[in-house]
Amino acid sequence: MSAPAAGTAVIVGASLAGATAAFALRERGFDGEIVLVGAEPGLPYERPALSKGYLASDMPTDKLLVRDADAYTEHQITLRLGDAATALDAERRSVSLASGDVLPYTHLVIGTGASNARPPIPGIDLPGVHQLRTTADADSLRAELPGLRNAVVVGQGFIGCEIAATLTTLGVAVTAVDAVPGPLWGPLGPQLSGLVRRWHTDRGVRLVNDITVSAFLPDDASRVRAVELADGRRLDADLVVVGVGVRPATRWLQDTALHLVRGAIGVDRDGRTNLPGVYAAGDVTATWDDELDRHVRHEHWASAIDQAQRVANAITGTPQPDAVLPSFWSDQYDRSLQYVGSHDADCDIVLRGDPNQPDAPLLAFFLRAGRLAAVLGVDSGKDLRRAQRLVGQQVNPASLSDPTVDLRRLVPVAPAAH
Amino acid sequence: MSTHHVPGFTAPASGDLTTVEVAGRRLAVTVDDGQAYAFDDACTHAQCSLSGGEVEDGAVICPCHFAAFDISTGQVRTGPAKDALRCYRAQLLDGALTVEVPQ
Repeated sequence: MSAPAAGTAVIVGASLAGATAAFALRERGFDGEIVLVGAEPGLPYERPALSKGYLASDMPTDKLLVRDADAYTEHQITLRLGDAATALDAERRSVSLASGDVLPYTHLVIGTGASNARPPIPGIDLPGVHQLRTTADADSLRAELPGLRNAVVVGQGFIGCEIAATLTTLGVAVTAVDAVPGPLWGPLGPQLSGLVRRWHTDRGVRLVNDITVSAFLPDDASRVRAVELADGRRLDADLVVVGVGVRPATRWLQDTALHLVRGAIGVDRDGRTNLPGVYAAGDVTATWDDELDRHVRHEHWASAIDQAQRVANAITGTPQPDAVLPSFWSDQYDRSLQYVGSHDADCDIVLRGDPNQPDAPLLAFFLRAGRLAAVLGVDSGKDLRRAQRLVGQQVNPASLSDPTVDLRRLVPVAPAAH
Repeated sequence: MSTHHVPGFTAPASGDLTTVEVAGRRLAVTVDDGQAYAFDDACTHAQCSLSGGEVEDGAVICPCHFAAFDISTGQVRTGPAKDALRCYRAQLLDGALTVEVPQ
């Protein structure tokens, strides 16, 4: 192992990934300067609650902070907040900031995350049309909620579904629109999308699918009043939230030799990029996956932390722990959805539980050629943890679907001899 | 503090949790190596019921987002929870549980 690394570590992105990398470097003995650069004005914070608890309450922003201000002082992490990185010079090993300052680095960690896709729909700039990414976004949305009667959510991905659930819980009549056939259609597939559909429709949400939005229409005061669909239908909207995906925040890196994969920074599983001394972690990355033989994006809370810690290990020469499986959660109403692993449309699904009972616990196992690729749980966190050790193993589907089989006792089966 | 006897307590299996009502509080209880541990049954992150989780290596793991708390001190071992869990002194004597809660 190498001696504790020194030099200057510049971390671009005062995000969960960026802050985690900064603290992890210090905790692993890095004794050089650590500079954490962020475009947003405040301390790094965690975003999951923005579409749920934060939106639904008067929770203060300091409840979201990754660490409080004192922790940065104690760990001698220099903060450069409200000053976005604008250019990377990989030859000279420096980063330029919007303020004009140029920061030389020995090690660079990029954790700039993603920004919301902003579809070019007429009227998207109207007052009352919101997007949700930052605390500022959440605050402006939250300010509109008192007395709000109806809202249209554009997008039925995780963010759209969570916002629809939160608004519904607050008594707002919600219509959610998406071009796909059902909620979470892409990440979960048709069968499980049907389950999520029931969560929403049983609570009064109107789901409109297989149609795109053609315009946001204003009222006399130039505030949004309705959403017009491609077939001419109009949906009344006192408020609109658009959640239609994200783009990795890599525009400032486009003129560099950094290897981008559909806009994301291609990294190995320890966060190394193709450039010496340059690492990346969090939503901005696409991580090489040996199993799938391609880069995969893991845009979730746990992935940001894991990747940032692996980057800190790589920089300081700390042995890497075994790779943790990608995982995420989503809360909608009183349903708690958990997921671990990585599946695609080619996987077979084995269910434990009845998807026609939308309020009962359920486990869904995704199998690729007989091997467990991923597990999804609904209100089944304990069983999900028990099943996750089987991910990557050959398993007997009949045992997975049988609720009387204790997942702790389930052992992988040897692959059949050929 | 006042000490409360919990009538009809049945110790959960190792690694499991059960709930008890003590002085209007809903507590989660686990027994590890003969010692009882009691704490609020609501995770400090999103208030999920910890009794639906499990205990591993001296930590209770929330079933919703897998935050882990030390069962002796309530300190957060892994997030997403940030605030410590409130723990209560519990004693198991001949199968009978007593818990101390603030008055």
